[in-house]
Amino acid sequence: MSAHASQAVGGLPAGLVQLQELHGAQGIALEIQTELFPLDAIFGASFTFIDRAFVFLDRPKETSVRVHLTLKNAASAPELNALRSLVGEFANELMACAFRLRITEENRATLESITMQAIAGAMGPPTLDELEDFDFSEEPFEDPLGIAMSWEEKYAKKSKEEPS
Amino acid sequence: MTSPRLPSGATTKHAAFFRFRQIGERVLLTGIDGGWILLESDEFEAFTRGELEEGSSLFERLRAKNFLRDHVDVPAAAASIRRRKRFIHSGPNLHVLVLTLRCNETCAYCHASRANMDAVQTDMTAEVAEKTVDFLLQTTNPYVTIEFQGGEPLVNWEVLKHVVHYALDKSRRLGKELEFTMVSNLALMTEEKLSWLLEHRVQICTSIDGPQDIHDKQRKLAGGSSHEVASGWIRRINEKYSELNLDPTLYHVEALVTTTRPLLSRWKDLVDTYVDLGCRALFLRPLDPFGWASRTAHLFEYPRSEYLEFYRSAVDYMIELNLQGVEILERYAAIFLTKILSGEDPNFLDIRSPSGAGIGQLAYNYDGRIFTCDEGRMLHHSGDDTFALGNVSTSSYREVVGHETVRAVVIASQLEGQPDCVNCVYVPYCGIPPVHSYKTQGTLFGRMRESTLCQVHKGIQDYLFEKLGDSDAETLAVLERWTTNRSRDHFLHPAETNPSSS
Amino acid sequence: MSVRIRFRRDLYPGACVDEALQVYAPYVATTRKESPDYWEVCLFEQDGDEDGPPSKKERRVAGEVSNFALGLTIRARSRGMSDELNASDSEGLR
Repeated sequence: MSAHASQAVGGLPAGLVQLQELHGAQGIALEIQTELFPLDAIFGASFTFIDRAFVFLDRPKETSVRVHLTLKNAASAPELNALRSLVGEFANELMACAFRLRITEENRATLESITMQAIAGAMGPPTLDELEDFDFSEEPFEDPLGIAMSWEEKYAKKSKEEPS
Repeated sequence: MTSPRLPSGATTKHAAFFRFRQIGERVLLTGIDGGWILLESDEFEAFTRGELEEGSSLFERLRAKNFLRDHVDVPAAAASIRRRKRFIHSGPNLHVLVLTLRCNETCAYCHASRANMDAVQTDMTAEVAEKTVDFLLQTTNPYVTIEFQGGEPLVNWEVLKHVVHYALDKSRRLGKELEFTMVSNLALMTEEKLSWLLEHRVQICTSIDGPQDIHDKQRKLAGGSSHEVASGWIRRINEKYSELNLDPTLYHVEALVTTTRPLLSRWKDLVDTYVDLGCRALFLRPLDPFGWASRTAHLFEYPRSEYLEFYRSAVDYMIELNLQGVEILERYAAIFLTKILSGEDPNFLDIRSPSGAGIGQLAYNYDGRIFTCDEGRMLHHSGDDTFALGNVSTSSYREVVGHETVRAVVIASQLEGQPDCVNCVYVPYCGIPPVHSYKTQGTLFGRMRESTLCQVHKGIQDYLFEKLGDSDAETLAVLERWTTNRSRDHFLHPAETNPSSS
Repeated sequence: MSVRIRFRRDLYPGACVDEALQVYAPYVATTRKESPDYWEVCLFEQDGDEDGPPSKKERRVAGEVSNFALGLTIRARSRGMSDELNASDSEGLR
């Protein structure tokens, strides 16, 4: 195993935060209950740290995910304060991500409507050249309500299935 | 300023949706449509306990502002929201052209990633300039502002002139209304260039970082005082506007300040400098995190609480001057007050939701690369292409504005999806550019509780609502006047009547 | 020496781990095996010292591989694809 014995960090809950060596480097690990924080929030928060830390996820128990953070540009024994501040910032970002997920779900209609109007307003209609280049074959076109059918097709079919 | 505690027995008996915040002794309420009201604490208690007497003065005040659930004027609220979000459908209006990275001045905090004067390879060529104009005139917005930036745009003078000629000629055929702005340190200005700029109605904007000692220390000009040069030209240009019989209250050189630590205690000198130069507006911008600013942060950065003290002192002084008949406004205050008092959005691209990046503005590097905004281009020069959208030579307009980065930025900058913002009393008036959150916090969304920009915006709005609550009629009239937005028609090049491109 | 990385199968889709390893293949040699819960990767410098602690290069590449696999995993999640991903979601995780 590349993960080694862990050690509590003063001032932080020992059950949640541990100093831990991973892949040969000293880092800090935070254990997160998946009942409290959705996995998408954990991934989202993790991603914002990959510019300054190596981030690795593990699952010590079925109900939790452990996030290992190792500073990229630290000496072999990074300062405790740097690791403490890293894990603190991670916890803040995790909370923001979890909260944002919920708000986004609640306000999805508004956000999508504004985004669609803003982008469509800026893009304008496609040019004839762009329409010509458009690849309609990429996705199968589903039309359960028969909107794309001609009037004749739609009702001819119906009249065959349901003879009056 | 914190959220007031709700009284015991609080109920939603009367209340329509509202957000609230303590402002001094009062409580500020804002509604979903951007309406607002300041309540005394006993009024707030009566409202939140559901103890309003129908027909009372408080009842009527709350009803008039759409805070009573049983009396919400839905069509009026919908119209107000529509007015506040009118900018959404417009498409990019502001197009920032970086004509060169070369600059003859060296600013200690340079945001623009300047290059030395021999770096001619960082000049935009006429060919790239034409492709850029061809590209930007495809915007769905009928109003187009081309802003010349650098480096120092006067360094690439021939291409600047070429862009103006080419854009005027082309826009005439496309039915676009054009405006040109040049942001320059003015050190390479000549009488000949000025005449040409005036003739072609190019607006001129410069930087004045405060009194001469601070300005010259921060903005080095080889062999001279950058402050003397810039202020000399500001006076000369303003004279020329007068000679053209243009109203000096409307037509004058706009100047921008970058607030650095040495300036915090010199707020009075700063305002006096601007007034002496004939400037009518002062934009008290805090230091940006882009370019060299992070390298020189130990010299120039400061806690935002100190900035807010500086802001309050400077704006108090500006209000005092206005009461004595001197016309000078603070730009942040004008932007927020316009939203608060008139219910209109002045479309300042960095303080709107969604932000203007990609959908309200685009920035074009000297080599034709396109970015969501000028700050995104600055990040490119530090090796980060997160905000790059394409190139004028190879990308189609619709590819660029429909780019996944633009979509991400639009989603990330909607305050209705932001923790903290959704509960913030200032959400109808506020906005955060994602590029700032990205640079300072590593995420497009940002964490507003830790954002320095959020702190600044909240602090300024706290101050403004204190003023709106406590001021006498004369002061309120000054604040009201700051929201007056007069169009500078002289600088517009209407689609049908453009001058010949000589 | 070497660095052993154990990617949880219910967190990292196998395809993402493979792609990350492929990207860093020019820098280190790797061996891979599967266990019921993990994708197990052993990563080592071909001419490295077998007995010593992981070299600086091995540690760095292990970190970069982890970050790259994480980025690919997030992209895969946002696109709602991969069987492994669906499997992890079906285990009661949100």
